Amino acid sequence: MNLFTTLKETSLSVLPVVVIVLVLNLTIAPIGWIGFAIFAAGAVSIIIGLSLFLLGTEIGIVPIGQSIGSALTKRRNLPLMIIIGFFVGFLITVAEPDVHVLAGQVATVDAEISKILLVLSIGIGVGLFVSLGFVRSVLNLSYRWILTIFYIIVFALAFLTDRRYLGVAFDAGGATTGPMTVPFIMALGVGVAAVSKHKDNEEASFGMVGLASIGPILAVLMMGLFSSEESTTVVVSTQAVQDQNFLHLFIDSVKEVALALGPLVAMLAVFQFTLLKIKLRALTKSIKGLMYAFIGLVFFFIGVHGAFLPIGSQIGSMIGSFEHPMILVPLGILFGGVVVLAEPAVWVLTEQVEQVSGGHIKRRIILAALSIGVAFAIGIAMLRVVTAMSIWWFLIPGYLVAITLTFFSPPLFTAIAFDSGGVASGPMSSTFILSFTLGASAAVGGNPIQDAFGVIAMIAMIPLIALQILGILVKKKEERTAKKNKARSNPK
Amino acid sequence: MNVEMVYTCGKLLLSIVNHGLGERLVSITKQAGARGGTILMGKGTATNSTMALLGLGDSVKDIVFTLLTDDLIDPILQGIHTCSLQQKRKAGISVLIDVPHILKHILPNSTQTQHTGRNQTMKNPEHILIVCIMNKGYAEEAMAAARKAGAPGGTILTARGTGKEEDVKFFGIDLVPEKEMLLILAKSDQSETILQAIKEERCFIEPGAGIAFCIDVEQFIPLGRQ
Repeated sequence: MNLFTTLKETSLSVLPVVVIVLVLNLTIAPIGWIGFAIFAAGAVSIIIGLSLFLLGTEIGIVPIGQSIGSALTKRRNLPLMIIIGFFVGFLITVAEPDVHVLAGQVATVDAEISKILLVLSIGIGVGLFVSLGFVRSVLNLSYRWILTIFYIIVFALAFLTDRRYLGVAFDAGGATTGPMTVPFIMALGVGVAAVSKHKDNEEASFGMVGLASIGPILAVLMMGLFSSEESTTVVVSTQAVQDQNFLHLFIDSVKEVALALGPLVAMLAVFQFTLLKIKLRALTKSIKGLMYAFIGLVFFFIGVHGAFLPIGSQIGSMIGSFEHPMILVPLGILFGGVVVLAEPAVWVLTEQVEQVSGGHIKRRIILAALSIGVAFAIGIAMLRVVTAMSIWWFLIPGYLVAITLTFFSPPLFTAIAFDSGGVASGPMSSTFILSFTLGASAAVGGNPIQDAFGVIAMIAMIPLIALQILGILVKKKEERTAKKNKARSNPK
Repeated sequence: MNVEMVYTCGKLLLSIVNHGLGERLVSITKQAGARGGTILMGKGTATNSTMALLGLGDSVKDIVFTLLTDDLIDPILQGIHTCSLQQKRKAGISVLIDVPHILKHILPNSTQTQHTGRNQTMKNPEHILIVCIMNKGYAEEAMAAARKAGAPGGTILTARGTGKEEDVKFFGIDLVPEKEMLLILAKSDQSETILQAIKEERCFIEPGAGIAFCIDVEQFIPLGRQ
């Protein structure tokens, strides 16, 4: 990937957010020029970080994941694949910083659940579903039926489980798939599909992340089943990273990224000697890639935690305390439309889709669908902040529609759609959007914890619908063109 | 359908352009009369060794195949020379390769006649297209060797082999070997040394791991400002 084109593209996708904040600064939400300067500096850091990260995933994380996937499949040993799939999924999940944040949140809901137990069970959940993803690729199982069955189980459990766990559970699906794990898990799937001669190879390449997001939902719901009835409900602010000290911020970001990257490096080391035996030149390139990804994510997190998070919450509370808080809804739509473009994993997904389809499915069309989808999602989330509607009015019909659509949408788009759910709810939404929502909700006088949980669950759900609708539209269009071509080549 | 198939001779226009420009190139050639084109995606390798050392400089490329029958060659070359892509900086390259047989549909009673064979033989081509197909993972190594031998750059395509003896079943699905295809365009006087350098790579020493061949290029057209 050419660094300059990447810089240009990432700038184009981060700048809209800056422009919106600038306009807000001049009009209804004056954060002051110092505040805006911090925000702009954060944006520059995010742009640099995103570019380096994308470069790193392209030459490092993705090739490693693909080689592991391919090498595993070539061994022709299904039990081995299942075991390794489980450990890979488990390890990268328990190392994911987001999972620890989430476990902390759950601990505030129910003090008797141990944090470690929860992290482990989420890890086991992801591990099992990565294994299932391998099995599905090898045995060529129907993706839509797997989804249908497991989402039925999810909703059955949701019905039985302690109500306090519901919001967190659906949040977990989106939150656990972080910027480091998504490209890796996705690449594993692409790697498996690359060496197997399926009838529909493109479809088999995707869907792994979508499956991996079900694991945490089930894990948290299961925990809820065994939770004790009476316990104190403490409401604590979800994000405590309001530290403005740059050194602290830097050290925290380095720690966070190193923690997430560690298992990948360890796995590469183990697999290199046992399974992979990558050629030296390719190996050094991958290691360079991991380094770029590391530096990139540090820059990214500095920008996100140091600037986007505090400013987001400030803007949110300013607008939330307005006389007409309904303005939050159009503003949320606006933010949703542009913020998803700055989400690192979204770039990786669209890149992979373009590669696997040989350029047939263009990156821009997926980005557009995601942008519209997330705009809707945050619009709805804001509506909830203002009106305090229950999230179930949206989640149950939403997932029903998403599952029903799997039977109409082309399978490739179904797989991409369920992947994009985990992809769209990355660090951008879990910091900037979440803090914006929290700020707004606190100012409106709602229950911030409930609303905050809602927004990520919505961002993880609506793309499932948006991309499958896109798939149906593309199919219709292709059929129409095919018909037209036939008519032309076959004149009466 | 009342169409007949005939063989005709012509040229293959092979273009390697920056990703995203493939569609534009096809529409340009279509305006000039071409029937269509086929686009693949590939990876352009770094153009100099410092960038390669840093792991930077790889870029995504579109590879466009356009088949031209004799009557189309001049208008399409004209179209490419005057098109808007020429305004861009280093948009890519095009090469023209002689194709002795193109299988083509024509309507019956059409005036086109069937003719085969080369219409002209090239004496000394200025450029050569070197094509290597090898097991996955070797293309970078081969490219590094080629770069040392003076090759300006190359394009890598991921591909799958279909060699029968390598196919194995795994729960009913065929496992296919992963391949990489490396395209290098070089001046003909350099091609000898480049091929020699690649030949010494491991993938070409192990039997069955890779093949390479050369195609004479009739015309080399740089696209965009150089």
